[in-house]
This record gives sequence, C-alpha cells and structure tokens, in this order.
Amino acid sequence: MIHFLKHTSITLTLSGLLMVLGLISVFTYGFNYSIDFVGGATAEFTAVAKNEQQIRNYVKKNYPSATIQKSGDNLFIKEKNITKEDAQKIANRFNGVRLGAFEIISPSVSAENITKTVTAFAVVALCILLYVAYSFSGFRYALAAVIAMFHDTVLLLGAWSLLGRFFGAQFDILFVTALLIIMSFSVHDTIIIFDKLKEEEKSGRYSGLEEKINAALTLTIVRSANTSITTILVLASLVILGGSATRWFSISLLIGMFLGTYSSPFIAAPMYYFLTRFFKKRA
Amino acid sequence: MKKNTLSTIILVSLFFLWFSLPPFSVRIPPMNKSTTIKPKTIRVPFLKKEINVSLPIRLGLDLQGGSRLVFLLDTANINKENIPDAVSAARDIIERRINFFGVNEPQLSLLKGGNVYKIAVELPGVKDPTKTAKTIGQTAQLGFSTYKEEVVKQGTQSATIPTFLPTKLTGAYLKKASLVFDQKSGSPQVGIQFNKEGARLFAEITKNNKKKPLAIFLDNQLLTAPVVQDEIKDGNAVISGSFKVEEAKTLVNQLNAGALPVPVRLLEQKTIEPTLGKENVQKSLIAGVVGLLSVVVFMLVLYGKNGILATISLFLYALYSVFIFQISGIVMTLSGVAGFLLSIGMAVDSNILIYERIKEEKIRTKDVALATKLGFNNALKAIKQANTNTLLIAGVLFNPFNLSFLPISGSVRGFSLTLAIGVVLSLLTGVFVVKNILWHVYKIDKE
Repeated sequence: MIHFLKHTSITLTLSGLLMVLGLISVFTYGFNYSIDFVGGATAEFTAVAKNEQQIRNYVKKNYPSATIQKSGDNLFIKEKNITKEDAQKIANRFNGVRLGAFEIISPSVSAENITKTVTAFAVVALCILLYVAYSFSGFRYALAAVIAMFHDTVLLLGAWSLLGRFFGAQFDILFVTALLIIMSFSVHDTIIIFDKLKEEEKSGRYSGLEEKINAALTLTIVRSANTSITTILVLASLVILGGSATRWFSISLLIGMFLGTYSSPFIAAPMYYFLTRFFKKRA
Repeated sequence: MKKNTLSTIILVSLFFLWFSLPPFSVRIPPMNKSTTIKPKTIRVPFLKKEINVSLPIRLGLDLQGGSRLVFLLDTANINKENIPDAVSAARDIIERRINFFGVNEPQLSLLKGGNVYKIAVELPGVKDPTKTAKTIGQTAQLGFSTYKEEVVKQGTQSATIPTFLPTKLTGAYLKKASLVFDQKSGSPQVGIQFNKEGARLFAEITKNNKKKPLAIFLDNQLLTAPVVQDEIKDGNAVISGSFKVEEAKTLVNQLNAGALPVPVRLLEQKTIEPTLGKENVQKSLIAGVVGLLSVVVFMLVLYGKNGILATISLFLYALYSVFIFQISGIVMTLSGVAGFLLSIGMAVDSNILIYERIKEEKIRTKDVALATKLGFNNALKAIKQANTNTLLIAGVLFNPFNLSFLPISGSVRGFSLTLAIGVVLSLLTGVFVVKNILWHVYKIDKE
C-alpha cells in the first residue's frame, strides 16, 4: 500500500501556490483573446497565384495569430492587430498582388454568448455536485470532486494566461472547448477513485479513514496511470505531428489531462479526508 | 441466446463497415466481370425510391471550408444614431434564420468599412448557396392594410379607385408563425399568432372592417386579401396565399426569426477553403491515427489477449461513430472532433478499468472465467457512474430545452452532441460488446 496522504501537505501547498500564481496572472496579464472575442480586420489580397506560399509564410511569421483562407485566386487574412497600412505593405512586397477589400470585423462571439457560456459552466458544476452527492449518497464526495474540478480549471486558466503572455497562446473558442473537456474528464477520473473508496468503506478491511483512502488510491493508481498514458500518447502525437493550427488546442488538452489525473488522488482524496474529519469534529 | 447476441453484433458491424466504405467494384478473376460491392445508391423495390448509401460525413468550416456570402446592409433610411442597433439586430436575425434552416455551425461577422456595413456569412459545405442567400437575405416585413374605395368625380364621370391604407399592425407584433394546412383543400397556409398588443390591434382592425378585404403584404408585395367575416379577438389568423409547401415553410421560418430592420443585398458569393488550412487538417489527421495506433500497441503490450479485445472494441467504436455521423448529418468541426476524442479516451478507460479489475480478481481466484465475470461486474458500477456524469454535463451544454440563459447554438452545442454520442457508443462497444465476447470466450453462463 502506498502512503498517499502522507504527502498531502506538500501537494496541497504546491497546488495552492500555483492557483494563487495563476489567478494573479489572470488578473494582471489577462488573456490573449482571439479575434472571435475582440474583433479585428479582414484583408483580401487578389491575384496571389504566383506568390501564395510566400505570402502565407510572411503573414504567418509576422502575424502568428492570423487565419489565412484561400478563395479562388484570392487570399483572405483575418487578424486582430492589422491596419490598412500594414495590409497595403504586405501587398506591396509581392509583385502583382493587390490589396482588395479591407474591412473592420466585429467580434463573432457576442457578450450575450459569453455570459451564457459562463452560466453553463456554473450549471454544470451544480449538476455535478448534485449528481455525485446523489450517486455516492454523500455530500462530502461531491464537494471534494467539485473542488478538484475547480482546481483543474483555475490552474488551466492560469497556465493559459501565462502561455498567452509569453508564448502567444490564444484564448479562442477551441480553448473554451478544452475547458469543458477538462471539467468532464476531471470529474470522470475522480468518480472512478471515489467508487473504489466507497467499496473500501463498505468492505471494512481497514478501520482508519486514512488507510481506506490509501488502499483505494493504491488499487486505482495503475488504472489512472494507464488511462493517462493512453490519452497522453494521442495528445502528444497531435502536439508533435499535428498541424500548427491545432497545436495550442492539443497543448491545452495535454495540460488539462495531466491536471485531471493529478487532482483526483492529490486534491480530491485529501479534500474528502479533511471534509470528513471536519464534519466529524463538529458532529 | 448468447450466441445470437454475438452474431447480431458481428452482422451489424459488418453492415456498418460496408456502409462506411466509398463506392467500389471488384473484378473477381473466374467471372472476369466487375462486381459492384458498394454501390452509390440502392433502389428499394416497393417504395420506388433511391436510397443514398454513400453519405459523406459533413465537415465544418474549419475542416472543409464552404461558402462565404457577403450582404450589404442598406442603412440609407435609418437615423444615424439608430444604425448600430439596427445593424446588430440584423446580424442576430440572420443568425437565427440560418439556425432555423438547419445549417449547423455557421460563422457570422459584421464588417465595417467607413460608413458601409456588411455582414459576412460563412456556411459549411452548402451546395446551393444562391438559394440560401435568398432565404436569409429576404427582409420578410409583414404588413396589414385595410381596403378603401375612393370615389373620384371628374365632371359627370365618376370612378372608384381602390386603395390600401397601411395599418399599425406589422410583423413586429407577431408572437409565432406556423405551417398549417387548409382542412378542405389541404393546401399549405401560414398560421400567425399575434402577441397581446398585436391581438388588440388586430381585433380593432377586424371590428372596423367587417365584410371588407384586409390585405396582407410581404415586403410590399400583396400576398392575399381575404374578406373579414367577423371581429377576431384571439389574435390568430391564417394567411392563405397560393403557397407551395416549401414556400410556406420558408416564410414561417423567416417570420419566426423576425423581419430584418434594414434591407440587405447580396454583394458576393464565394467558395472558401477550410479555416484551419488543408495542410493542417491532413497533418492532424495523420497525427491522430499515429496516436491511436500507439494506444493500440500500448494496450496489446499491457493486456495481451484482452488487449486484442480492447483493440476490437476500439475499432468497432470508430466504425459505429462513423455510421452515426454519416446518417445523422451532424456537422463535424474541430470542437466536435475533440468531443469525439474525449469519448475515445473514456472508451479506452472503460476497457482499462475492466481489465484492471479482472487482474485484481485473478489474484484471488484461479478460475479465469469467474475472475472475468466478477471483475467485469465490479468495474461496471464505476463506469456507469462516471459516464452518467459525463452525459449529464453534455446534456446541460446541449441545452435541449433551449433555456434562454444557456447557449443555444454554436460550438459548445456541437461539442456536447458529439460527446454524448461518443459516450453512448463507448458504453455500447466498450462494455456491451466486450461483455458478449468475454462471456463467449470464457463460456460464462448468462443468468
């Protein structure tokens, strides 16, 4: 039996520090929002046939967050920070290429949709709380699972704020999807471990709560490791071999999957332990 | 009994495999004749209908591209200070119309160049953008006018000139429009229901115009002018122009989405490449396949014989999903693929859970069949709970009741739909199919 709970103070302190660091970053640096959220401009370059690849390379180098779309003999560039002068300069660099329409584009995600999505996150958390409380017939399980999920979400947001600030990772619609995936996965992972813990509590092999938790974690650690390895195999190959447009998305999933796996034994289980002790003392 | 279930699974899987293949023919040597193994369509004898059996999976703008329509908003007749409101209202109405017409995952953006406002609409894989452009670009302003005959006298001659006087009642007072059919002739009609204020106006108009025609205009074109029989107090009316079903349906959708506050004009129409870029999509596809293959190798190394079973269940999982995506016409975007990937992860997890539990039981008993059975059943509870939870999350995000405070369209919904389908399929292939195979291999009796 591995003594998981022995290292609780270290893991909880580490997680707490990282969460504070992440939140500081979110509040000071904010996010590198994509064009969907803040708007930008579209520029159309006509007659690009000869220079297509060079233009693509040039735009990619100077405007890493731009999307480039081909339509017939024209290229559409969508980018947050581009002025008409900039676009004209690009056109001038290439022989025969002209700047067609240049238009200011407003955010495609409305403020209303952002509010709705945030509400959806809250409703999801509430549903998880109620469902886990119901299916494990214990509110402490539910609270611990949601705390772990909250931990994963905050850390991923913090990581994204820092990656956005220093490496240009964008907060786009795909990242919102990644957040949803991580929330689902985090709870999925915690439920598997709690199921084993519930079984240990029923079997009565061990009398102490600490031993029960350690036994449950020891028995599920191989499964957790194997599941993580399989997801990491897929995501790592997407990060390394996949196209550049999806790389950041894969990275966000990779970070999230790691957090989801880590938080079940090292956040959810100790939280359950503390909550149980706390409520027993008060009872 | 158990043999039957297993053979059914095999038959169904073979059918799905056949269905997912592109049309092809094979030359069998002794016959020396090309034999069609997979046709494009199949003729159903008694229905006299061709059924398309080679459906492509519909991909979103990011993966496949589509068409780009740009509409110019004519703001000439609008006060300057009202322009921003009118423009954003027009954008919302066009978005609603597109959703009503069942085009999934469109992308709308508002373009501004100087004082000229445009709306760019990007639609994934639409085959006939001209028709779509027409339906989403129509103003759909409904108007009601009373009829009046004016007698004009000129010298000794007098003539009656029929005129229509527009009333205050317009499509803006509409609560709901619906497609109805005339009970006698069966011809399609558009039923309309006014809101409270509209019902009051309608009652007033009908009261004052008994036995007179009431003209209904759509975008200043006379649709129909029925004669008012009696005062209508409940705010319900039926427009019985000479519609075809398709036209009536279109009008219903347009009315429900609301009339455009400004007229729009189609400026340009183009086909566009995937937003992610062709190269990117291809690369990521290869990367995904490499990733899945490494998972297969990992499972084989880890669980040996059971690893083969896990591989089979993963393969079936992919096959069933392709079938569902083919026949449902769900538009797959990258978010959707991500939801799908997540559910693959959970399918693998179900397998790992089962085999870890079986290993655990094998330590306690030498009887492999018993260990398999106990391990499987022990794993089932955790799998059920974890997947119910995921389905619950997908349910909230899909927002099936269109609750107004949750997202009702867009990528979140696309993601939740593929996630839910994935979870159900992973339970089917990772649990139900695996159980049947395990029970068959270890000759476990079903109680």
